[in-house]
Amino acid sequence: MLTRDYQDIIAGALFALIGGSVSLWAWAYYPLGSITHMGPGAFPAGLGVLLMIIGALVMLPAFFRAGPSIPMPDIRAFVFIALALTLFSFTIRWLGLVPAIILVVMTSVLADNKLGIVGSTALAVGLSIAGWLIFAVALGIPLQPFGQVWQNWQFWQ
Amino acid sequence: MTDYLGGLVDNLSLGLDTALSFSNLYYCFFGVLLGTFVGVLPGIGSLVALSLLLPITFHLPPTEAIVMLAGVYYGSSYGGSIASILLNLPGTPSTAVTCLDGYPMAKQGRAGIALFMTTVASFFGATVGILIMTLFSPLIVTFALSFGPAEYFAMMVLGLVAASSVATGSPMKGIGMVVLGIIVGLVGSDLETGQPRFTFGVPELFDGVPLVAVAMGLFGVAEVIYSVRVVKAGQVDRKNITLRSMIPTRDDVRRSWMPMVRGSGFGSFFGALPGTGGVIASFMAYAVEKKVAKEPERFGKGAIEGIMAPEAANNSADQTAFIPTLTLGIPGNVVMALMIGALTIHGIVPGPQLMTREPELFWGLLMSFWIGNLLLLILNIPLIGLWVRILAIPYHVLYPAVLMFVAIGVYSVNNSPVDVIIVMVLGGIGYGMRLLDMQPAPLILGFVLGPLMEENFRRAMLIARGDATVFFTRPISGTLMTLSLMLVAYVVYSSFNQSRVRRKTDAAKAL
Repeated sequence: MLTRDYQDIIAGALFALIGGSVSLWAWAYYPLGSITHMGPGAFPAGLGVLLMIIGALVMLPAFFRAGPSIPMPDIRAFVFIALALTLFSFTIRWLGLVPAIILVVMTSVLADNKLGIVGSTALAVGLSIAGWLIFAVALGIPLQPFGQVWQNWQFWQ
Repeated sequence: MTDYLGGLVDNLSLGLDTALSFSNLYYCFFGVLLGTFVGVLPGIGSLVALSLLLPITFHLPPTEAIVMLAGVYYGSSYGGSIASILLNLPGTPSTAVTCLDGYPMAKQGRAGIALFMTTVASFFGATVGILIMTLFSPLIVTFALSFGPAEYFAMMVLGLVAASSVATGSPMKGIGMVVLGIIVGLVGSDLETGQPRFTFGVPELFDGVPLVAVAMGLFGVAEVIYSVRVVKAGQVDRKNITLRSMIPTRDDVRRSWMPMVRGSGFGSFFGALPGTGGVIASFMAYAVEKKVAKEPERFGKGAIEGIMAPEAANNSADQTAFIPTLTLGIPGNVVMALMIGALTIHGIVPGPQLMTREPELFWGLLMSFWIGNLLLLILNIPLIGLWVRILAIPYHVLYPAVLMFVAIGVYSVNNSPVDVIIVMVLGGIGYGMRLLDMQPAPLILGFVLGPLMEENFRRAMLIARGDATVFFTRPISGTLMTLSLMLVAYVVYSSFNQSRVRRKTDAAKAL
């Protein structure tokens, strides 16, 4: 327990900050129009002010009460999961679907490292086949199981 | 009256034709199968599953898409009770109450009976819900056709305020997330003037932030990062669940009737109200059973009434939740918001016109509920052994599969690798919000309704010549707005009051 509810103080401050910027941005760059013919800026500007008020209402009472401690972010889980998706994004066209899925699985299992190398490999192979069957075969989405890179390699020469 | 009944019969036969087409049957089966699967698995709920399926709906006709998504939604309540009974872990939030008496029953060796009877209760509840939907939807639509923009705006406000303040967590933060969601929903070209808003010159944002990216980021990626270390799989004793062990005693059957009927009543009512739904309905049904029981001390120790009422309640609520969604276009919960999003992707805007413009979709979906629930009966009774085995799949095998679905799903919508990165970034933001206990569900609700709210607000102001009191002077919208204001006032009052109470108890502790 902390002496103040920092969770709500930060959340409220974020609301207020986002609300304020949205409102200012809308007011500065988009026509507000008249009340009868509202321009594109009017609704966002109003919402921004509303979000600022809500932010204040979340933040102010939080100063006067004890709150839970903010959970520590699980950096390792975040890093490996983000890395898995990034690798997929970079390899899906170049290497193709099956290698991209294998990369996603092999990287993401490192987020909690409970699955050994054998289990991970089996999962990766299984999911890459399942992914290809579900998306490319059953749903007919045009996804190459292996990308252009492999076609240029000629093993048999 | 004869008109109404005659029309109903025509519509139902049209619906049955649609629902019995091969592709609808196929997607209905796939939906309920997947729904039971994710319902059984602790850590993956219908929300995650629906987010993962959203990109697939791009490749399907709208009726098939919505039949499948609906199947996942109500199927997960069937599956959720399996986890509640055998593991004492709710597979989905609306089956949490079932743990209270279901798990004690399993410990007494009556797991088979509990599983069988909850399936029966679920089916019974769903049947009541579907009947109510069939009978009342046309009436609500006739009524709603006279609504103007002011009424629509007021209804959306009430729906959003109710959904965000009743949901878990701090109600004020919930309302904040709704407003944030509406703002994110406004990104893109303004509908009336074409002026791009908050696009920062990125051409991809001219059509708005895609729902798929938001749903996948917040419910797929953020959820996985959050759950990796938290979710644990359970240990199940799988050998003593045989078909023979599922036969209830005469006493069980006798005790189950009235709780099932009462539970369905609660469920149908709360399901149709925006902001409440299965979770609240099942808690209410349980509390009432305990009140009316002759021996309330049996509750919590394996009373069959304690599983029948909540299971009937949450399944009937699942069905009646479609009433406001499809007749008014107002989603009562975040799953319904995703359904509306899926329909909007296909250019169908839910509302009172849906029933007349897309009768195949509306009545086909309704009839598919019958088929889906019948399929679930088959899936849950003879095939129970399969689900018990699935319960033992640990989360660390599941989450790589979820990530695979996220990655391929997002990529397949536009064949765009950049979209995968966008989802990853949204997932990171969502994870940060989770750490601050800012719930993603109200944000999605606001996101889906945002553009509609703005449109109706501007139209109402145009019609009323800028007189903002129009929302309060028209009787229906006035009532709805007053209700919303009262709810907001209560939320504000309780947030200040709560801090006073908490400070007092803190002071007491310090002494």
